[in-house]
Amino acid sequence: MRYVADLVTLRSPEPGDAEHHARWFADPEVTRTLALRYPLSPDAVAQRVAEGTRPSFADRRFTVLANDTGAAVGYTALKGATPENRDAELDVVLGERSLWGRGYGTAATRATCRYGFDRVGLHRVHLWALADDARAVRAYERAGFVTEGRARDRIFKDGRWHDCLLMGLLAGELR
Amino acid sequence: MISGELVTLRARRPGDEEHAARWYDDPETTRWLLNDAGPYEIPAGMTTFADARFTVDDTATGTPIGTAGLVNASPEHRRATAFLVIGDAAFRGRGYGFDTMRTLCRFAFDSMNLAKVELEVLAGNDRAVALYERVGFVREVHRRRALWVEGEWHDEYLMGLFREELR
Repeated sequence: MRYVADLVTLRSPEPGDAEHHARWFADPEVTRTLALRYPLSPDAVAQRVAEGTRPSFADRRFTVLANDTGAAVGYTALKGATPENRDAELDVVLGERSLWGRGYGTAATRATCRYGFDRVGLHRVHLWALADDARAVRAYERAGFVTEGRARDRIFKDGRWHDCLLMGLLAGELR
Repeated sequence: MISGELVTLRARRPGDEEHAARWYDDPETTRWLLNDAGPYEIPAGMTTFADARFTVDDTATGTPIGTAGLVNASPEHRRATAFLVIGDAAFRGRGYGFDTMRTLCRFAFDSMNLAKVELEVLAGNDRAVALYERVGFVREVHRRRALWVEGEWHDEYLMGLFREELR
């Protein structure tokens, strides 16, 4: 599967992606804003990637390619949708730090949500962002996400509690 | 439990097999079935989007009178295939089938959030076709020689119902 959008292309995860994932997860700047806490062994990374190669309505994952180079630059996922509510949780990870601040996160967010609305038939996409992760929050807002609530002390990481923002996007609101 | 005016649709449970065995002994029941009735399956877990098969009780007496449900549901396309069997002959021709199908379709739209319900029916089963049309179903496909039943070919209709068409 290849889903071509502006700036990025989504494709189905492949076992070979484990190599990229391992590199991204080794970068503390990348994992700083993720729920990941414990270092992942190569086997654990390979297993995570392998799970993503069997898509279902409740679990669709994508490897994000940069259109100009064709290189894998991150991954996205839509998880937890039920057929009745059709609301998925969005993951966006831009692992290649050299590309930060250049619109790839927004592009990957848009492409994944567009896929979710047009191909999966979702009604809503939501996500939890660290409240002080301004760059991510801005990228989601650019795609049309609205902050719906603030959960206090939702994540304990790096020795302290962090508030999280619940952000949501309804079909038809994607920009 | 899902309540209609005459019937209640409930999860299948052990003991229902005995009623089902009686229904499927009646050739008036089986002559209209699209496949051989296998053993009456009692799902072990919860009723789900992917497997919503019920036993139909007469609400007034609590008697199991048949089975109905929705199978092959597609979450992306938001449609499923309905089936209905009123197995107890005493409850045929009295509006129980109509009430069951209407109640099942309301559940499909209001609880399962489907956009469309489809069903297949033997072309000669006039009573069933008329019942489904009263519910609001529209004949969409006439599939010729679709089924080999009792030594001859039968045509079948594929019928469909949108949310806004349910009466």
